[in-house]
Amino acid sequence: MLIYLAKKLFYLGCSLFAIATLTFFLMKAIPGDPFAEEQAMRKDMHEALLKHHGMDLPWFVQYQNYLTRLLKGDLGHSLKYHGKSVNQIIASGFPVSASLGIEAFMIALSGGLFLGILAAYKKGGWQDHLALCVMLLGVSIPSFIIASGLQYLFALKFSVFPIARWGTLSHTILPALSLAALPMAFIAKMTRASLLEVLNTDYIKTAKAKGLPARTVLLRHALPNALLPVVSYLGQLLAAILVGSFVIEKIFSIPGLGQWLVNSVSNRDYPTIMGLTLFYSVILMVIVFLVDIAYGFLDPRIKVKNDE
Amino acid sequence: MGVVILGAIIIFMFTSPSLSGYAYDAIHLSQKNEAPSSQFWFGTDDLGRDLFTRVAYGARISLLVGLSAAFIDLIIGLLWGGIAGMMGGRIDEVMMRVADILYSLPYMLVVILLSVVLGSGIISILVAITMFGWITMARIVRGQILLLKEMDYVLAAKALGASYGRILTKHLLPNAYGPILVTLTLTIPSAIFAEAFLSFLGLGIQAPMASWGTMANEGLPAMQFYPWRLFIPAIFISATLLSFNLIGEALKE
Amino acid sequence: MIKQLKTIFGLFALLILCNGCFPQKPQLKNVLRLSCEDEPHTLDPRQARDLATATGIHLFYEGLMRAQGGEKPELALAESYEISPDQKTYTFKLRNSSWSNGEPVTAQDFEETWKSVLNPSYTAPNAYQLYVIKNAQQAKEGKVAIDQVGIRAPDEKTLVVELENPTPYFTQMLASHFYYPACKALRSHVSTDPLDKKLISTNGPYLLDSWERNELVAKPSPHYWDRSSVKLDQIQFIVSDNSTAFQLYEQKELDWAGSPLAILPIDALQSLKKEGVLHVKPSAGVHLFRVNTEKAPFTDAKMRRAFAYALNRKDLVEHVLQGNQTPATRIVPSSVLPGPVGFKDHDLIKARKLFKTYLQDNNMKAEDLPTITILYPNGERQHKIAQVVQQQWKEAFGIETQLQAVETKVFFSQMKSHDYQLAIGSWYADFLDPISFLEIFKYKDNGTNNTQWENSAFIALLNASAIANPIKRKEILLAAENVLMRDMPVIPLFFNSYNYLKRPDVEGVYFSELGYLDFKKAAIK
Repeated sequence: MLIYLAKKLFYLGCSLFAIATLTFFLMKAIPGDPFAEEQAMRKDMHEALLKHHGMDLPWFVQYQNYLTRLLKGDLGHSLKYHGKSVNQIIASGFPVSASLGIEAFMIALSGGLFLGILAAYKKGGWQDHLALCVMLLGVSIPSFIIASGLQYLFALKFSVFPIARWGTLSHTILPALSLAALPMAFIAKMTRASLLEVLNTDYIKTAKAKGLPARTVLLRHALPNALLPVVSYLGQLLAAILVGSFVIEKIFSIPGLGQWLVNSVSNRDYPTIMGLTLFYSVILMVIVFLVDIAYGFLDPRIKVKNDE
Repeated sequence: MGVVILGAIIIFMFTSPSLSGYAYDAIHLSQKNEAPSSQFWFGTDDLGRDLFTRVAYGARISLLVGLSAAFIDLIIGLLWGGIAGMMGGRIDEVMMRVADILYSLPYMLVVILLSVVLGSGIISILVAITMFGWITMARIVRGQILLLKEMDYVLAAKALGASYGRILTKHLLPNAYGPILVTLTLTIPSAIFAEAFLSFLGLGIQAPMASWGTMANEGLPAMQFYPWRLFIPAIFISATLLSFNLIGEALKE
Repeated sequence: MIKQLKTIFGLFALLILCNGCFPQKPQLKNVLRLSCEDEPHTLDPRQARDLATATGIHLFYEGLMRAQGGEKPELALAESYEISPDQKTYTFKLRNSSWSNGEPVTAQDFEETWKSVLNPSYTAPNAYQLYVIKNAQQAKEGKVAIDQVGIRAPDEKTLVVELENPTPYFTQMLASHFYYPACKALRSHVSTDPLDKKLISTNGPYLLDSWERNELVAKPSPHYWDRSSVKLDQIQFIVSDNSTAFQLYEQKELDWAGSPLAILPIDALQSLKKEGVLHVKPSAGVHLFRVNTEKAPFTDAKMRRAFAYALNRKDLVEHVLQGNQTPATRIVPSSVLPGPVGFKDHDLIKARKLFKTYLQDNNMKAEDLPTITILYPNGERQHKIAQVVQQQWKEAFGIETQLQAVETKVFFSQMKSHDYQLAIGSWYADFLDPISFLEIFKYKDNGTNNTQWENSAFIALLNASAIANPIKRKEILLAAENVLMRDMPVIPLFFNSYNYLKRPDVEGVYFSELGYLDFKKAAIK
């Protein structure tokens, strides 16, 4: 077991190194620099700024410098927002994005499972058709349209929820719903499809024939197997949702991390881009690792480890 | 049923420009933002262009990009996830970590680099969308393969000496059909909206050509004032997806 | 398994409830709330580049003068001043005032701040704003010692400034944030963290109360010398996207929406104008096309003028921008430099004649013209302008132009490397004088020129304008602008206007044409 964990950590380290390197060179390869603007400053000033931040050095030197600082734990400071260190940015933005993400995740998971199970159980009935309608809408309407629509209807027209910003529980409802719509539809669809297949298999028919109540058959025998494809998706979903959705945060003025990553690319705010990308990859890898373990629990037949 | 809807959309796509008599880029500034009327059947957009004609032209791009991207994502996802799941062990580990690395990279950076290197146009949009779109499919396929490969009939096939490739294509993938189809129905709309996002950044089709996605994007800020600019392209997108869904369900039977 | 699921869900539900545990701030009455697209980047006056930051500087700092809307700026920290007969030396007497840490504001604070900006080893993007001062540019370029610069503080309350030339707009410049003082801690690089209240002190009408989670809150400063003029209890700046900000305003959660710190949604403008609630204010900014004068077919001024005359700016402003902007047929707004200059908008006859002449001169037909591409940074407005302009040139000349949208920084990069033919752009004046508009095109090498155009007559005229006689000066500057319009290395489009919404009970906010807000005398009735 310990060797397994050590191997995983090794792969994690390699991946992070690869991500850092790729991101760094991608950043430097695209045109533009943090200080270029419409009301351009004089050439000598611009060059002085670049020199001050070490950007006139050859890429490899800059890369080495960055890695050295990184290994010491220094993620650097934002180039655009003086006085804000990348650590500060993460510390203030992540809790917000994460709590919104977890809320949306829960809504998507519970809503999706419920809809999917219901649709599969009552296949062909009105519940199935209704659920399918909801699923279709969730998948075909992008989150920003749902968000704006909800905001317009429930915040502006009927002031049930606040329009934007962050602070109380009611501030979280609309953004979480908007964020959860697509994943919920997907989970529902996946659960339904997968469950329908499992319900047709022999051992389920055997269980039914044995006289077990339908509910038990559904939940204890069929569901765990049907959930596997859903679980594959969940890991990626959770990671993406935790770091924040740029669009939702923008529409609801939520001070999370999502906006930071996109804006830092537009601003060519190199330290922030690197810091946030690395942070995100750590989260993704940890979650994917947990998901792989979850596979083993859901179906002991699945062997993710290599066995000879 | 699904074929009917899809057929209607395709017919619409080809016939409406001649029906309406307007060019897709003909600007009538003083008639901007008009609601649907007898003159402009779907209304006009913010520059006074006929939405009926524009939606027809938009169909070409959205359908082309949506379907091609989904198809490419499907192929890559099947291969990657299939091989990773089938092989297991270190190959699986490496392949999935590569997928994770790719997934973690800031999408915007890659997009900007592509726009500089490849310029704008359909090719660069397809590359940008499919570069990352296959990852979800690959993960789901791999998950299914991991489960299915322990099934009795697979073990039996292995015992009979079937090659990995044969097992993969003959036994595993066909049985993973359900989740693959569901993921596909996710890939198409996400490709359509990704195209809209990228076009806005300057990577894809240039103005004044527009797709349903870009029209929806442009109609969004006007939702409060001129709702048809958003709803008409959105309805077309939903209808197209509905038809694909119905076709998919029918094929499964 | 169901049991485990139930426990997991229970834990998650608990987490959600904790979402509601963010403390609510107590509501005060006299509070002004605005939205901004972007928060200030810094609170160091020497580093401020954008409008949000400039607004912040004017809020937290005080300089020698402060613009409040009159013809001349009001005296602020300068109690009085004298100008020498040759108009080149200004002597200021400072009033008694203090920093937020209690220390008095001295003439040395100004001297040292400005000298720190002119120090060759200090990276100050705005240093060139101080170049009107004697020896300032030479000192910054390292050619002369810093003590040769014309800034002296003979005692704590006296500041003497020597200029290179008579500069009638100098008092205006003193009212801009480029000339505001920075505290000792900032000057000695001790800290750049604006929230480090122990180290960083400010001297303006408001203090920074808190700055977290997309919200900047300011409260009146008890240390301000003119405390009685400050009427509000609190000012809140909320970072928000434009559509959301508009909705917040409609929901009465904001007192000010739109320019200059944000933008009102274009699609809302029609109905807002109908309701009569839209405020419009001209801005000292011109939107234009930069033309690459070294790429065919725009190497010939005839083509540049043809393309300029063919545009229908009235339509553009009325239907696309809808914010009561002013069509621009010259570079400098008439309010800044009145006089005969420019051309007629939508002059198709002249435009087509020039177009034909160009084709004849080069023995070409319209089909032989190289592809013309219009480059623009992605953005809702530029997108619309580009499409309409493309259509207008098609109607005028029967030719197809290509549109190319690019990401913003890629756009700047292409402009810098002159990889374009026509590029949409804008210029906002640093201070209200014609020279702020004209001098960006003075040299080919200027960071904001990028058109590869340079003209010796133009340069000579601009140099000649450094005189004291205001009437003669205006004549010279008009002549210079005429040179520019004859050669047309830039095609003016429109003068921008600020569109904003404001609650009727908000008063006393000074909205500068330069694009920042001044809240010193802001109040809520």
